Amino acid sequence: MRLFWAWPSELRAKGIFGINARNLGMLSQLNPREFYPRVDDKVITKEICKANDIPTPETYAVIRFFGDVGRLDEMLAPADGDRARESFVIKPARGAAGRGVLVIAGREGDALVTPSGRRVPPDEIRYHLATTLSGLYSLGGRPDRAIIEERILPHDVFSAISVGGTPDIRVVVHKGAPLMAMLRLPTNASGGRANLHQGAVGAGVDIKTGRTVGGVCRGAFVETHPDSGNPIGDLHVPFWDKVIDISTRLSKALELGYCGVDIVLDINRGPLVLEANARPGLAIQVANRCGIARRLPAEPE
Amino acid sequence: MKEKRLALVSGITLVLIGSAAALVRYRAAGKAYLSPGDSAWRLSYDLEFEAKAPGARIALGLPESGRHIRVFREEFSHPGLAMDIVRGKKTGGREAVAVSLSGGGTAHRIKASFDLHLAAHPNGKAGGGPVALSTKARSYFLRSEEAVQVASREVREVSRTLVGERASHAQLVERAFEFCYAKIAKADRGAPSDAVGAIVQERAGLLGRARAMVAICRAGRVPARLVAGFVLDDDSEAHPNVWVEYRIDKRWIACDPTAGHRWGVPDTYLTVRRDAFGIIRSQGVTAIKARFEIRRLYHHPDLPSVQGDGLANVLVLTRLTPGMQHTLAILLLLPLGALITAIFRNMVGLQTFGTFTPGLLALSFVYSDWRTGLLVFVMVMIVGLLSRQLLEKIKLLMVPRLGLIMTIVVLCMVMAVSIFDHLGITPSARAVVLPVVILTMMIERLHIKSQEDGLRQAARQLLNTFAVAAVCLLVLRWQWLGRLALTYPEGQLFVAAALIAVGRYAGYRLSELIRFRDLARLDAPDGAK
Repeated sequence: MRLFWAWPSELRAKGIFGINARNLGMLSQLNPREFYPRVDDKVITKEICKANDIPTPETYAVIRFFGDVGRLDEMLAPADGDRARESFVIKPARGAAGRGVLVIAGREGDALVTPSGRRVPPDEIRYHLATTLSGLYSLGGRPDRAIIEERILPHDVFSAISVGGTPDIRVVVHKGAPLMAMLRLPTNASGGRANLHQGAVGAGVDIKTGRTVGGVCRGAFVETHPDSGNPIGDLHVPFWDKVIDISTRLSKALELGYCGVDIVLDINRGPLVLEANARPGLAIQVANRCGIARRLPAEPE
Repeated sequence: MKEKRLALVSGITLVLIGSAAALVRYRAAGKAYLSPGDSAWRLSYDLEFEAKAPGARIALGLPESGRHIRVFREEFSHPGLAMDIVRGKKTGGREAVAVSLSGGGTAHRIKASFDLHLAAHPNGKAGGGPVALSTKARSYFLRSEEAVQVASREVREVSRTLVGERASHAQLVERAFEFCYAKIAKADRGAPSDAVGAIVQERAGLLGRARAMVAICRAGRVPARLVAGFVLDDDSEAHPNVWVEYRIDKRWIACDPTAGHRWGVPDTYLTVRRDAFGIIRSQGVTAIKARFEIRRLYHHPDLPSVQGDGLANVLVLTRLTPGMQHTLAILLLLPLGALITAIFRNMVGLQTFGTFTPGLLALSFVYSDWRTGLLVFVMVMIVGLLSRQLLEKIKLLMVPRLGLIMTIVVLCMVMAVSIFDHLGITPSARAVVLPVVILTMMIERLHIKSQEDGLRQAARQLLNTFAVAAVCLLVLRWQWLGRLALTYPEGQLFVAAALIAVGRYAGYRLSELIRFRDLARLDAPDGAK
């Protein structure tokens, strides 16, 4: 009979990283504390991207003060005075796990409308912005800023295997070299968010070829998307070379020796950096059916 | 790997310093000689009783440190009972109040033991100069009682004949003492135990004679009261003693009209309760069986060897009063709670709400009784989560929202204190009060977690928090561990070393052995990949 656990020696033989090894061996060694704000605050991440010519969703406005909450419409008006932007995303600068992200797809009279067709009255928008600034969604509850940015129109290559949201690509970069990648596919259970511990599917992607290799959902191997039933293996991620190029360049610009870069594929603009993460999770190993330590370059003695 | 070496070195250094300090203390403790003329004693209570209904309570008077006697250690065991130590308002004496949560004749047993240091030379701290009594207190100690019938004809008559015309208070006390000591014959069975009975029949036991003395003093306008306690003497069947304190020249002076001590009592008299005649008070309790034992201690490793007022005494925590020792012991156990939480989070891999929540929850349960504590906890959590759900509807900013949740938590707690007091099932308010801030944050986090990751995940994390808190509680409740931490405060260095070790643990968490098991077994070990 099989034990319901594996022995540490079995895990070690596969080169699997545990949280403690990640924290002590990688994060505390390679990621200087003072650089964390570069990834924890998306306003700073975006500035760094801009300075290094790394594409990100266009920022329309950053709301810093409660006094600006009422001036949202004004801030959304483009410089050339054409007409107010109709679709955009509001997100907290220091949010995590997709919390506090509000996507607006259009207008209906006074109200704004989400992609699912829900009407959001102006009151609710103002409340959402105010709670964002007060730090409801931010790490540690600290006061925050709200970013208003371009809404991404996801590339349709993964539409058969993503449900209710936008899929993204996570690339883990170690000392400037891509280590492992996965495609994160939203499910009904994850509520449209591409977050694995909320129930999204992670599909491992071969670093060299950009082809998916089957995935993981809720810690178990899967070969098909749990909602649509479509296979998730052996798909090619478009613009793969650009995805790898962007993530390695960003990790160098951030000066983080071990980080995860989250990229979305826009149908018009191609790969765009959504955010970076200084504490990338370990489920990517399961998605790739491979321990992270196996991918690390041999340590010079 | 610089950090690794540094961590190792600091860990080893801590352990070495800790061991050295503990060794020095251990050897010193083994040689703790008492000053010439001093002695150490142990007083033990062993009490059995039956509770008639839930809320039945029993209160034990606790020995008091005085000018010659110092209580240096006390220990209680009270399975199945909620217990708290409270201080009396009028006399300042301490009582251990135990409350039974079950009724219907449930049998209970309480044990308590107190280690006492009897010093030949009085310590300077206790006692003090003369203090005037307030008018209210004065009339309180002149009052007539059921068995101390100050207002009765017999008592007044004796008082008048003893004093004669214009005698001073001192003369009155002296004559009252002579009367009670010489005139009232010593008798045991069937002898009256009230003042009038003792005076009229001229025979009484301990209590009757003491009451007669108090009554006569009070009738002559000298404030007086009974004192209950023990006389230190090797005795496996000790009996509580009763003596008298009267007030002359703004001082309380003790006398024992049965043993014949007129102006002060010997240093071996141990006060337990003032203005009372028994060691135990009870309510809703039957079949009380009480045994007391007094033993001289010849081996006393816990007796702090405090000599003089040297600065080194600062390191001897056992010299403090038992109440303060109790508080400090719990404080000293907190780092151990943190260590347990660290082990569960970093080595086992259980996610809990908050880093210190389990330890602090456990701590509050040590202070309170765990059953009432749990009841209040569950109540506060349910009301808190329901109201948090409602708060979601009116959408508030974070700080006011947290403030509101705290208001609800506080209200719940206050109502719980009031309800439990009404039902009479707690010894004091402290048994119900849980950490408000911890509960507030827990409600908020539980709510957010359940919204984001679903009820199952939230319930699971709550369960984890509880499991870790329970383990912390098991450890923190351990009385001898608390005493060890207090006797050897350098033990904290070992805890610190253990925290460093856990902090440098880079191995797998137990939960990861399950999480990655499929990945670990994906291919045969000799697979091509």
